[in-house]
Amino acid sequence: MNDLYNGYDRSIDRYLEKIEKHLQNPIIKSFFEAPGNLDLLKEVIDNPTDLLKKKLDDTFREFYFKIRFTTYLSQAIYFNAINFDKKIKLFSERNLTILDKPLKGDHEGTLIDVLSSAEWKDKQDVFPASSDISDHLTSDSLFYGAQLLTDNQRQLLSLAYIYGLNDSEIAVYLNKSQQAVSRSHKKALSKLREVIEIDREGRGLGD
Amino acid sequence: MIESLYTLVKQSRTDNNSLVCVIDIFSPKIDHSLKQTKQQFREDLSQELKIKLLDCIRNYEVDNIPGYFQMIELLEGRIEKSIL
Repeated sequence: MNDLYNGYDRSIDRYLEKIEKHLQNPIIKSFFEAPGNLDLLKEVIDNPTDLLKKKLDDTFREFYFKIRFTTYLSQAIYFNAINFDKKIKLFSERNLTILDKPLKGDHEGTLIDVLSSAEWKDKQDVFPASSDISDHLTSDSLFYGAQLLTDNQRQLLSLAYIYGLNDSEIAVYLNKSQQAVSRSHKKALSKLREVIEIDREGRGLGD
Repeated sequence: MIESLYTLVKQSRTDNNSLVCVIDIFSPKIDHSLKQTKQQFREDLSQELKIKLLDCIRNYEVDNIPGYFQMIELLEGRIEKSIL
């Protein structure tokens, strides 16, 4: 009995010595560190039948498969996630919204940067608080026409179009009758219209 | 998990339920990689990754994994090569 046990022990030792260099291999090493696998190897060496060999083979295959497959899938997930992000980034770079587009010319930054900058805001509010209608006109002919109006008419237009008052409110404000204000308002507008039309005709002839 | 990963992957070539099981096993890994992308694209990415996994699992050559004795032979060969 003792002899038999020693013989068994020796053969496993001899085998382990033979494959000693392979035991350094991380896969083989961790395979034998897992419970039960070394016992299986002992059984195979002690009694090398095809059935036991196949059992060892299959156990190892399953063990190795789990490691290889998990690594493979983990890497597949990792790299595909990175690729996906790159794709999204490329797409959004090629399809910018208007506000996010970089400006043409020597401007730096995007449109939204410029719009939100203090500099741009200051430029927009040149006459923010002006109560004179002339300061709010952007058309040359209208501006010219406004200079031809009387002070009273300009004040009336300012009240009507800057402050949004109606004729009766203006009348109360200026201490005049509503009819007088209305007449004066109409007159001012028709004068402006006249100026614009003359200007337009002049340009039409010029073409 | 009742069945081992090995059998599940082997079966997933023909059996969709096994395929779903395998993808479920890897779903924590998928969820983890969602964190790197913007909130609005996470659902897309998750779907995209699952499609990729489907391909990977279906096309994986399970039988190419060496058995124990094959592995020892392989290692033996590698060492001989490195000596030469």
